[in-house]
Amino acid sequence: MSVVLAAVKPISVHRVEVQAIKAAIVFVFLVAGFRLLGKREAAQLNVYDLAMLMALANAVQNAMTGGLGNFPVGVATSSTIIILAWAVTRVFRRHPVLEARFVGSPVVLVRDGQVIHPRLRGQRVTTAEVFEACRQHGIEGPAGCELAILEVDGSISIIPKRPGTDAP
Amino acid sequence: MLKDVFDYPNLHTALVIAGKTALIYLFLVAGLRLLGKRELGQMGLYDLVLIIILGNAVQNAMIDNDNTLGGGIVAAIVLLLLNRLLNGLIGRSTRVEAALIGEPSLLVSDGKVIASHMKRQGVSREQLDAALREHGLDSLDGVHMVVLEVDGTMSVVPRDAPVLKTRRHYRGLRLP
Repeated sequence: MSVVLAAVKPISVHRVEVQAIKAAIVFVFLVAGFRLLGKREAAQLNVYDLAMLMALANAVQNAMTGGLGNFPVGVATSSTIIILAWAVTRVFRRHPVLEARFVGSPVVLVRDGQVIHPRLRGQRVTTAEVFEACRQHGIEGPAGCELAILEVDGSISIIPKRPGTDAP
Repeated sequence: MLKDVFDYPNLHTALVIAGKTALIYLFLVAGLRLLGKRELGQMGLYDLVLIIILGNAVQNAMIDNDNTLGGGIVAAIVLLLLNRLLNGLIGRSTRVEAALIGEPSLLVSDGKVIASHMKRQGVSREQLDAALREHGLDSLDGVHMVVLEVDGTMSVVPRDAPVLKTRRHYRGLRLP
C-alpha cells in the first residue's frame, strides 16, 4: 500500500499543468533551434553532434520536469511532446508546402562531375563527405557522378555517369 | 500561471549554467576525440550506450540543480551554438576536419593490399575479405580501391564500377 502511495505522490493539478506547458515550450524551442542552428544532414551526424544531442536532452530535462521525479508529471510532459509531434506530422501531411518549407527539399551537390561548392557550403557538407558518399556507392569521386543529391533525410544519393558518356 | 511557466534563473546563475555547459561540451569533444577513429566511427550499440551515459553523467554538472525553463533554454542555446561553431570550423578547414573527424585511409590500391595502412588502422585480412564479400566480390581481382572511411565502414570501388551501396549509419535518426 505504501509503495503504491509513494508511486503516485500527490501533486497539485496546477503544478502538472505548468510542467506540461513548459515541456511544450521546450519542444517548440528545440525544433526552432535545430532549424536555425542544426545540421540538416542528419545522416552524416558525427560523434560530436551525437554528444551534443545527448547533452541537450539532459540539459532541458529539468526545465521540463521541474526536477520532479513525479509519475503524473512524467506522464503529462511525455504525452505533451508525443501529441505535439503527432500534430506536427499531421499538419505536414495536410500541407506539403509547409513540409518543404520546414524540412527542406533535395539539393543537387554535384552535376555532371562538377562539385557545386556554394551549395556544399550552404548545406554545411564538406567535400570529404561527398567523396565518401561516392566511394560508398562504388565510384572513386565526384568526377564519376552524373548527379549527387543531398536528400531531405540527410543521406547523399549518387547517380553515376553511364559508361560511354564520360566527359574527357 | 504565466509566472509559474516562464520562470528563469537570475543573471548570475544563467552565466554559471552557460559557462559550465560550454566547458562540459568542450570536454566531451576532447574526450571523444581521444577515443580515436575506429571507435568514433563504428557507432555500435556499445558506443551509443556510452554516449547516452555520458549525457546523463554530465547533466547535473551543466544545469546545477536549476529547474527553471530559462535555465534549460540557456544550456540548450550554448550547446547548439558551440556545435554549430564546431561544425563551421570542420567545414571551413580541411585540417581541422582531418584532426577532429579523421581522414579516410586507403587499404587496397589496384588490387594490392597496403599492409602498413591495414596494420595502422587495425584492420585484419578477415575483415577486409568480409567487406569484399558484402560487396559481392570474392577476391581482390577487379578491385580498384578499398577505403576505410571515417565512419568506420569500408568502401569498395571496383574497376568497372557498378553501383553498390553500403549501409549508412543513423539512417533512422531524423531531426524534426
